[in-house]
Amino acid sequence: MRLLRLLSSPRLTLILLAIIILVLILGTLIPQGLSSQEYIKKYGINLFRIFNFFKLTNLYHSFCFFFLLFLFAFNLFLCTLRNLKSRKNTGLIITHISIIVILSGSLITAIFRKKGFLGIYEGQIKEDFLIGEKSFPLNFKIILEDFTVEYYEPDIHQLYVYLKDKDKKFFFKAKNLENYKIPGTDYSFRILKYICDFFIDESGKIINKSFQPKNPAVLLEIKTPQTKEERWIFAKERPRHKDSNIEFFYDFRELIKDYKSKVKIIEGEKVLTKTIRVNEPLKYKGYIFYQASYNPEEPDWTGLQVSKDPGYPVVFLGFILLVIGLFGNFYKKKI
Amino acid sequence: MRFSLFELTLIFYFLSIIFYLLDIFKNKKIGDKILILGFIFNSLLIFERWRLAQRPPLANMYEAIVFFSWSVALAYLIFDLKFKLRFLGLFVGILLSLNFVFASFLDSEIYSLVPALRSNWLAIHVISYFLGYGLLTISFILSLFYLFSFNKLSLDILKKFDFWSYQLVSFGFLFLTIGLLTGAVWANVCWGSYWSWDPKETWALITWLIYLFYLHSRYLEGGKGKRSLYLNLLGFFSLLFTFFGVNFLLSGLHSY
Repeated sequence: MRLLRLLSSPRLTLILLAIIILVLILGTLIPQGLSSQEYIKKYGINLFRIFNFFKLTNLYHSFCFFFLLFLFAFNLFLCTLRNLKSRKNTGLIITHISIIVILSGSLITAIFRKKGFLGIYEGQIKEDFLIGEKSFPLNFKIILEDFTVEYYEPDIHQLYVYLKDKDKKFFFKAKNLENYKIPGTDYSFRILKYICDFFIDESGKIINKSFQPKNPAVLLEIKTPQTKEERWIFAKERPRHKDSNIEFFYDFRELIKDYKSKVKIIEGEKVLTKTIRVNEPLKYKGYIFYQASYNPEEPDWTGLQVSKDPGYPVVFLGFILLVIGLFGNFYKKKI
Repeated sequence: MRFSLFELTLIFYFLSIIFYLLDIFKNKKIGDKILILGFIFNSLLIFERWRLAQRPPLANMYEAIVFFSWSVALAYLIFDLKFKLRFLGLFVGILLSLNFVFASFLDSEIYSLVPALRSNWLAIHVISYFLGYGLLTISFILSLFYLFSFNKLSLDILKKFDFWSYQLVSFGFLFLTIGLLTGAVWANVCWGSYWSWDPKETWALITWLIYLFYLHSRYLEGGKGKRSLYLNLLGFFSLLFTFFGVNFLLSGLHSY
């Protein structure tokens, strides 16, 4: 009875909160989840032994931390029961229940979540994914139809200008169609056009061959009071203009907008096609597929993160309850 | 000579300091009006940038400072309307001017969003956080005021200070909570996990827990006055560390 009273005391809530805060701070001061060698290199063998003894290198997943949270949840539970009896503010009761729901949900996540990886080439069919080195079956087939990297059209181009007679270099961040004067000279220039994949077709016409910046180029108009010239400048090749006093270099920076994996899921007769993007995962049968990585050297390969987390719906419910409870609390208070 | 919206905001925030000072000596009420003008230009600055960038202007330090200042001004103006906190105006004016001076040294170019930030959650997550930050900043200034005038003011006024600063924290805490939760939901959409113990996440949680401690210590133990004052200050320092410190000192997923 005495223990129960201690466990349900508000004073314990405050003490536990303070301890949790301190433990969390400690966990950000000591880097988490590095290899033993890295710790020894950074802190020396003795300090590493202490870290290891107290499980400080994986603090947030240690038994002590779990026990701390469990105590906190239990204390919260008892306090909530007491509040329920005295029929206090409903909003507050909901917020306290929501924290218990969130903590239970995260416990489910910690125990039951499957989180793995699936690397796949265009045209390849996969029926499993990897957690670490181990393979787990998916119970359906997934095919990668197409993987593309989407790029932004740059609105600022970085250009270096070299004047041969003065042996001087200038740097510009130039926008389309804006006029730039080269200081101390008569020269000025502007960018007339940008093409991300410059190509000359059979009829001799300049076209944009794709939407990938495979051969980015800008068309410049270079002016002096006497002359006017149009010139293509390429990021990848640099043809020299021997008869001209002015040379331009195009420092192209590609800006990735999104990664898109178009996949097909096949289960028996059922076929589902969807495009996975960074902020748009694919959900199917409790599995969620996320765009996780790509390899610039293998443009037809994509890396998907696979996760199945029965805890998340519970946590999400807790989030909703928490917000409802807090708003309810404010409605009642009417500040 | 034409001024940019940024310069106009800075000028009016700065002028508000002068007028708040004059108000004290001449017993007039012009400071607030000047600050409101600054706030209007600050709003236009955000609006204009949102239109130009075609995305919420909440993606780098410059944009964060401009939006943070806007939230502080908003929190002050609303609570000034409610509780008549005009004596804080001078400090708010100084803080906002310093913010804008700081922002003027930062890179103000508009950059495209990296894939991870291209989401509707960006606006919801960041705006709720900044609304919370604004309210908690005003509460922090009140607490400082309380601390430095502890022996000079009557108990009645100190009690009022304590009450206002508590109201500000509980309101700010609501937005902090929404920010934290939307962050977790977004992380689950984007990174495939609602919690990763990334330093920024952990520090956001620490800040949230300190304010939670503040609210509970008041409620459970009647911890008012100085103790709750120090907790409020502690919460704010933790907030500042989450906002700035983590980016510079600890590495993690949130580094953009």
